[in-house]
Amino acid sequence: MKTYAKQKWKKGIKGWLAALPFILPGLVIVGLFVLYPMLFTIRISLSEYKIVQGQINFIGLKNYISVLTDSTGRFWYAYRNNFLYALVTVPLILFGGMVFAYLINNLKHGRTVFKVGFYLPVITSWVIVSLVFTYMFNNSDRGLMNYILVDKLHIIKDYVPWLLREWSGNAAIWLMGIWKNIGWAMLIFLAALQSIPRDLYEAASLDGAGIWGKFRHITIACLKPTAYYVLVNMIIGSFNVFIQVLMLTEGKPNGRTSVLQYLLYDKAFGQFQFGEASAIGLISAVTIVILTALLNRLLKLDTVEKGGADS
Amino acid sequence: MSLKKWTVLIISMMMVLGCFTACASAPAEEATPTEAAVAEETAAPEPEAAAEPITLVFWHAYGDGEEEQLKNVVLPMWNELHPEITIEAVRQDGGQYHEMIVTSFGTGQSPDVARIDIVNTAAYAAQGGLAPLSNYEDFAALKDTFLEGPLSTNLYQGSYYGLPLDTNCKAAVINTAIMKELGIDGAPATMEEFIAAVETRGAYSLSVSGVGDWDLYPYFWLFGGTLTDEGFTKASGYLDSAASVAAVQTMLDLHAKKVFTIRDVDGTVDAWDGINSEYAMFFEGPWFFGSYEEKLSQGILAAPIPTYNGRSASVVGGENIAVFATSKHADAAYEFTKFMTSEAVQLAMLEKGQLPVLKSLVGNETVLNNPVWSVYMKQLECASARIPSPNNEQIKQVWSDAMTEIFVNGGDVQATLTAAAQQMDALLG
Amino acid sequence: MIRRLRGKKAGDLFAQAAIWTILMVLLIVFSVPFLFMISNSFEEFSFVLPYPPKLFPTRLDFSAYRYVLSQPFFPIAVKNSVINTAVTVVLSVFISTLSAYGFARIDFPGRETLFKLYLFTLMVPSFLNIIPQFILLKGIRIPGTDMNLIGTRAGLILVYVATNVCGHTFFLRNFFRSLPDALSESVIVDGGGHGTIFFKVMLPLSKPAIGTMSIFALQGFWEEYFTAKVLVGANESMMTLPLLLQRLHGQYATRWEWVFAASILALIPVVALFILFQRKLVIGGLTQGSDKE
Repeated sequence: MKTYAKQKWKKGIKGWLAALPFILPGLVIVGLFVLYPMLFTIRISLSEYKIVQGQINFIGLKNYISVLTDSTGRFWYAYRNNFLYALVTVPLILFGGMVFAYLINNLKHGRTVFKVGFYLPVITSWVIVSLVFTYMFNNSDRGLMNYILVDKLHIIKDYVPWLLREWSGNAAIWLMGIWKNIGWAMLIFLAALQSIPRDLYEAASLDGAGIWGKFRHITIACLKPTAYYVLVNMIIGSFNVFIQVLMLTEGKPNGRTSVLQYLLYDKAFGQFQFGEASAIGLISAVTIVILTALLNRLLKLDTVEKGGADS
Repeated sequence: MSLKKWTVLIISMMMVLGCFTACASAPAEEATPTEAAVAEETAAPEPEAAAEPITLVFWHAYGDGEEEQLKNVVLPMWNELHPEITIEAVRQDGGQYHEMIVTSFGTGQSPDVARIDIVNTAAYAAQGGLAPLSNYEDFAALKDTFLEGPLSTNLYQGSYYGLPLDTNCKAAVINTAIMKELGIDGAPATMEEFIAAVETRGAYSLSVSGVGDWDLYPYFWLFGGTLTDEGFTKASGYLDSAASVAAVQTMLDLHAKKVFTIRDVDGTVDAWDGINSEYAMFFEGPWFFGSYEEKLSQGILAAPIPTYNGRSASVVGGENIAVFATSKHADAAYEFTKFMTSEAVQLAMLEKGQLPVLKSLVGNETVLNNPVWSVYMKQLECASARIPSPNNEQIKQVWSDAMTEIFVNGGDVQATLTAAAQQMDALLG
Repeated sequence: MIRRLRGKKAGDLFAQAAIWTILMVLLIVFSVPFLFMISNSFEEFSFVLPYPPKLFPTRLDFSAYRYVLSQPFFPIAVKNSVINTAVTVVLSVFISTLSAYGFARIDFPGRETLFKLYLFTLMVPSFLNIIPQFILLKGIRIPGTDMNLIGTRAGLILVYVATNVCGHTFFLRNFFRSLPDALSESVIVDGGGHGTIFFKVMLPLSKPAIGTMSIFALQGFWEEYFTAKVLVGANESMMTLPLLLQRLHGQYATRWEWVFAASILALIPVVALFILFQRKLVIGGLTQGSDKE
């Protein structure tokens, strides 16, 4: 027994010794600049933090309780909006990206034009894109939307303050998320598509499979692991929505278009409520963990995933 | 690249990283450097009596014109007076200025002295971020040279945490051509007269941008509303009083009659734009008249906000200059705040439209002879400050939430204001 | 291809045309915000937005571009942004590649737990990290001086690299795991260790994946504002493009043409890089691993 344990120890140390040269540089800087700040955030979420004095007084779960029971309902609206954002944008980005990639992959000429064209939104800064959207959804006849819908097409009678209404504001935020991210998904799917062996398609053609059949049975099946990667990233992204909200709506009206990150930012840097802000951050993190784990179960993706994110 | 080169690269990188970690472990234990800095500062008296050269970091969010004036005119004046004290003026972006100051509290990297918005002064003081200036011996005499309104925004729990630096308020911006069409010559003297003239026009004549405090307080006060008691301790009984409900109701009625539009509610044209063609009047700060000659030539002028029931109203804006608690040269920084509020500097900054805060300059000829500044200085006499509270951000939110409820969702005025008053009570207590 | 039947050719052509049309329509819809941005960068805004809003350029006036280019801080901002981004990408990709190999190919106790911790950090909002990060940097002395890393390029890059190692490790670990074991076994048979496997086998195979990741990483740093603002914002010689842009915007909220012109200028290098490298982008690891193309 003893020798077995000893052997296990030895093996463990050997494993670490082999791994250290590889993981140490990453571990050191991640430990310092990511893990340590994260532990700090966890600690602050359980404390009253006096920022100037740097005083941290443990107060248990009080921050969490006051976040969850906030009388203005801002937290729950923000939480709801993150879920809605994920629910609306993730499927569209996933499916849209896949379709775009599939279409481009089947082109013989001009792939580059479309690849670059659809990827442009991805490489444009969030701040700039937000500015453009604010201008397009501007509330008077100076905004493009109002101008087209009211002055040109006469579809609606009055100018709409798009960004200041609960649902049109949220829709603008979603629209921007979709527009901005679809190219990213496309690029990843495109790369994945190019690595699907051609003989699979040719064999299917010989078996008489049509375009749709090939798409369903070969393309979709081969793209599953990629789809999982895109999915996890987009879900994390859905809970990191921030700049759009800051620049487009600031949560107006009354926090109905707010999201967790915006609430967090406002609590911490606007109102000095660092404890509550940290609590919001951790609630958001735990939600993502649960969501990805659930999806993993639900879609049985761990069977296709050859070891990737098994969290 | 060969294997050997890679190995060398890795080893050298690890060495660099190793160095970082070795150095970094020390501060991690220290954990609260700001606390240490504060303690150090209070323990040791200022060493600068010996005229040792020091540098003060001064944060501001001035625009281009003001910054130029600061660098080319004001700071040279300072250098002549205090050659041993260098001012490092750091210009921050206006948009995220408050957030940058909050962050600097956390990182212990606050400036020595900064120009801050009057509404944030109490919050910074409450966090312990600012040094009380009223402890200085000459402060009692000094404070009497300032206009009462701007000065009061520096008061928090019995101490003054800054000096007023510049002030402003809203006044009426008038399109004289449209007024003429309505049968009013120049600016209307009373709101009653204005309303009677535009009621039948069928187009929005008075515009406000949103439902925030800065937007709606002037109207709320003008029509007879009150937020709190005199001492800012209680909103119940004031914000939800019959007079306040009537004031909001007046705004609602005017809105329904198409006299008064809220851009963010109705989706109408921005006032800065619409004043040229469709609006007869809106209320705005002096910055609207950046180059007033041009505006005046277009028939757009500044006028006092018309009275309603015999009295005018407006909201006070502006900036204070404050010394930060973590400053190692607090005395020198205080000296700089006094310099920035001296007559010479106030007059120099007035050239760029920064209205002065000194009693002695109210009757100054440059101000009186200017067709825009004179109006604003006059309007200041009947302008009120927003609630000075460390919970300013939250109070702002309670107000705009209530107004959104009333103007957008059609919520009951009395019920909404009662609920808002209760929320405000909790924030004032 | 050769096996394709000749009769299919007409159908093929039709399919190609259909795909082209669909994609073209989509592309036009997608370009609206860009078109809007470009058109308006030629306009002159005087405090108010023009009516009617312009989707198509009505004139070709480059004065906004000239204004941005003549900003005294513009060359400094470009230089800083280029250096920061390049160094950060190289360092973070290299460190992540090493880490990913360690997590994918070497068995050590606690590996899964540690990796899950890495993943978890991706899910915690990073805003609040800025304060501890700042305090750490303040404590790191530059050897030989009494200065710390605040306001320095090294400090900013260190934080940038650190915040991206976890995400990149996640991405590349998948890739390394997907490579067949046989490749490394042959090295072990020859008496080589992990070092040899990594440099001789894995790195050459993972070039496309690393390239792809670099492109993704690049644009994140290129537009980063908040961290830069807090860490080096007080030092104007460290000004980056996003900081300059924000300053232009903050100050002249109404001079849209300057902001748009500046953003278009900032976009050009990234687009150029993407066009250059887009052919090489393959993300094999997420499928079954491939080095085709």
